[in-house]
Amino acid sequence: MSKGSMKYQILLVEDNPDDVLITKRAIAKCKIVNKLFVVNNGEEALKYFRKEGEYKDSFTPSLVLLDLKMPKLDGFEVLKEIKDDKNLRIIPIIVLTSSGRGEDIDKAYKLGCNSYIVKPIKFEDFIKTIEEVDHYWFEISKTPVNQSGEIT
Amino acid sequence: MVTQESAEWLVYPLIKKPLTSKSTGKNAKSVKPENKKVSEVLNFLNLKADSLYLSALMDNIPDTIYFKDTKSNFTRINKAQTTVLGLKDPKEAEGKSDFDFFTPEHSQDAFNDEQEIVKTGNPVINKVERIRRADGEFRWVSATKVPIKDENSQVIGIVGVSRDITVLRQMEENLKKTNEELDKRFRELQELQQQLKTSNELLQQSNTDLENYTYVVSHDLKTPLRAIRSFSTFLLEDYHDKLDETGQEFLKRIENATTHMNELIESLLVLSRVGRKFTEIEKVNLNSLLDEIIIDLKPIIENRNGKIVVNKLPEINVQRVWIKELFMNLIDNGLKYNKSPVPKIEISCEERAEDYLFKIADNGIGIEEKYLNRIFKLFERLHSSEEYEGTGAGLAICKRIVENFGGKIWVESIFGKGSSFLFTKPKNSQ
Repeated sequence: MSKGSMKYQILLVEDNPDDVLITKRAIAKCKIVNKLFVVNNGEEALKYFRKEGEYKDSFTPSLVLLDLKMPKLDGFEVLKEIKDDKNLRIIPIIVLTSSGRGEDIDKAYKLGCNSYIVKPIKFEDFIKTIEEVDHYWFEISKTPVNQSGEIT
Repeated sequence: MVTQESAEWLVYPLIKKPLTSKSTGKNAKSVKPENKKVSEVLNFLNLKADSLYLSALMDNIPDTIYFKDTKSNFTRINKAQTTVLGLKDPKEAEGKSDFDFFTPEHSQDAFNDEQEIVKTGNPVINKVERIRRADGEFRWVSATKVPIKDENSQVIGIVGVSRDITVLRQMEENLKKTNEELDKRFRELQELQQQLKTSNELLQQSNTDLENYTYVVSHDLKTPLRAIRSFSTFLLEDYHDKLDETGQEFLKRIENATTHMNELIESLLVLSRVGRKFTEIEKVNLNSLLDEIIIDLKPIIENRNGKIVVNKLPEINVQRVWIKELFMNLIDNGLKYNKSPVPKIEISCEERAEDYLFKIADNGIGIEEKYLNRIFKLFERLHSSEEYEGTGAGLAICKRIVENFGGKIWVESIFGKGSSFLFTKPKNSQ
């Protein structure tokens, strides 16, 4: 794969501005070329997926990083909506959360998440995690949504 | 000496007419004169024999016996009744009635009963009455009164027998009282049990709530902690040149503090997870488990030049992950708080009737007696983190695990020589 020329779209669903900054910085630090788009809550996320309103020209993301604890529509509800949607359920969703609770992990997998990652406390570890995610999902694995946001 | 007169006296109270030759003569018209004499003698002898039996009965039986006429006046009483009435001679009672001796209430009651017997001929059987004896004492008696009838079935008197049942009655009453008391106690006990059950349920609920709360809060605490940690890293990365040595040191201190706080949160998480039944109970061979733990702890053991001695241990039914955490914590402590050239830890088990007693003994620094009670408390530390690393949650977690098994944990220590951590695991729990 030729990095740099083609970019996958990664959607970050995260309400906490600190965590948005931290994730953005981690992605910048580990020189990930793929584009990152951020929405701040569950409702926005669903609009984005369904290309509603301001998101009518949005790309279908190749990978989603989904926070669980969010106001209004939380991560579980977003997960359920996406995985219940015939067209959208093929998009890999990685839960990225502070919670390591067994119940949360069980529930997320039952709703069909593709991976569950607990956010590391140290920034150094966070960078490593983001690197690994990018490496695993875009170099080792094949995903159904291509660089142009088309379902292949 | 039997005389005609004494025979007469015997019968007189019953028939109230003298037993004269005139009257017998009248009643025995058909009897021949020479036979009449014989039959009279025979009659007399029979009567005499009956009288002897009657006297024996009357004088020896502890029950009171009394004969009354149809007006409820005494015609004859026995010795026992004489005593009850407070008389010296039974004859003193003749012609007198209950009203002369007993309370008006009882006398009236007895009189009514007796008049009913006279009227109907029906006896009164085992009627319980309360009488006042001549000595002033009230007694309970069971009275049976039957009519005496003549040859024409006319009631001509009454004979009564009363048995003192005070002791029996007292026993009955005591029994009744005891029963009532017992009943009351039983109901109280039931109420207490119900209260205990409710409190237990509440306690269990609040414990669960607390565990859930701790668990949720601990996770939530991590979000701001990660921000503090990350942004101090960003400051150090981006503004390194603008900060002097002190400024950089401050940032380092923030980083260290967040690392420590993260460890505290992790400990809280472990502690709150102990009671939660995430894992099933299984049969665990503790010798195999200890082999596994020694492999896991190999870097620490080798680093400290430690020696672990494991004696024969049983197989027990337990949550594997927690018994492992327990042994790991205790062995780790034994190695950590140890200044011997060769830190040695010996693990043994004694099987007892109800439980297993485990012992983890070390040759470490020991614990001063005044601190023995403190060490199982959460975040309680006897040493600074410069001296020995740690959060102070390890033994609190151990205590939680052991108590969750239904056991107890304690420590025996000689300061400067070493400590032995002991815990029990009931055989029948879980």
